[in-house]
Amino acid sequence: MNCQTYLKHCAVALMLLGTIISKCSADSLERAAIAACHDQLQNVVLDCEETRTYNIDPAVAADAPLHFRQPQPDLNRTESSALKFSFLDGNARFERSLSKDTLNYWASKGLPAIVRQIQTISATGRIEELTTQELTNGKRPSFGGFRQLAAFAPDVTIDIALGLRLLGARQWLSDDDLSAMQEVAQRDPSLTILQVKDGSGRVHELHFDSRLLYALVYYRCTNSVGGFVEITNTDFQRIGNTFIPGTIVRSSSVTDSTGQIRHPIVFTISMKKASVNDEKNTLDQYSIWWPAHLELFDARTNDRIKVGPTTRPFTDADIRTQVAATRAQNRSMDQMAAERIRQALESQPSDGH
Amino acid sequence: MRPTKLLIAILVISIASFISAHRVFAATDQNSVCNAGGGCSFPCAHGTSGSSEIIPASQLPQCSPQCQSTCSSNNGNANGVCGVFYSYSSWNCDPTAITNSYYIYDYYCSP
Repeated sequence: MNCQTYLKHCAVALMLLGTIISKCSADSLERAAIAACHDQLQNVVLDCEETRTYNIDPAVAADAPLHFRQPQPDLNRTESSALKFSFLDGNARFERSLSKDTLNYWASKGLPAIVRQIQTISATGRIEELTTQELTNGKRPSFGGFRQLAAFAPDVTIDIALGLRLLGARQWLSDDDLSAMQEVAQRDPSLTILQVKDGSGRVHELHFDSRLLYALVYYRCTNSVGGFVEITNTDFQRIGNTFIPGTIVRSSSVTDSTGQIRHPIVFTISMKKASVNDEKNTLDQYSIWWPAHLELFDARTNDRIKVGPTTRPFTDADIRTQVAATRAQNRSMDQMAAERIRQALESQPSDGH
Repeated sequence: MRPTKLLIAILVISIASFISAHRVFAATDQNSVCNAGGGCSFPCAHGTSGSSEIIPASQLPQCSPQCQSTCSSNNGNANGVCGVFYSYSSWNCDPTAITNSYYIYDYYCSP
């Protein structure tokens, strides 16, 4: 090999090395940018409207168990509600209020409906939940309580659409989770696609767009038999350096009884107002102020807690204090009752036996 | 990577450098539903059912057996939302395969 050829080979090798180094740093920068975007979403407050459009397979509906002689729900119907979602460093708050139209729909069928539900989830997984329903007689009773998170309801969408959680996951997505995902090659240079397979065999695919500062624009979760859910984010609005989707559409595709692909429930979320790094979004917003005189149920311990005469929040320490006081009072009453029985027995005249 | 792309990435990183990520932890829970006769069932507890019924903790007093004695009936008409029913096209209550969802009704009971 002459000197010229040797130099030529060296130059090619250097160019290749440069490309690899450049590619590696580019990938890590993209990951860092995605993580940075994810970090921005740790403090958000979103006001939206959620519409659910049902197109249920009649064969599925025929198999569904119906309790209490309830009528078969309409297979094609639309339900809408106002949804306020707040998130702060692993604490989440979902507040859902049924729209008047949907409330009227259920009322016209002579059926009760959940009018409003507030759910807060702390960073440790402690759930507070307050539900108000409208009965057929027009009354609006409320129920409240506490439990520990194990699973999110399968229809919760907004947090997934923001890239805060994966469908079916019980934990918030972390920067480490994003770093561990595999990058999928694609043609569009503005897109970065990350993919991960979870323990249940579902494949999650997330598309981030550099033109939107690496906001999540598309999410797809495919199960092991090919059924999938996809979420498409569009109409982004820029708030500071964060892009928030103005429209979110979630749709699943399942094969129905006739062999056709069906989208049983389509969720459409329209953003009304959004704020990022809002000063008013503070931790105290993640505690429910329970209505006065409500009796709460703690599903973690099966204890019942009385809110008392004033509207107030309840920490676990407050619950423990009240439960301890109630138990002490019950013990005292039991002792007094036993003492009274003993006295009554002693005061009875002897029957001579 | 194009220079603009790099610039945007660096910009985003610098903005977010002061914000830390947090995580949420999970514990135990089960999908459950009011039984008309009282109590709750857990069709998805072992992941072998094709359907799950979820009821929030706040509704449990309405469904607990000790409350059934205070239930008010309305001649067989549903008079309280007891939970939300979901059915799935695959096992393990796979959320990628929801095929139906509707309210479950029961007597309105008070603790």
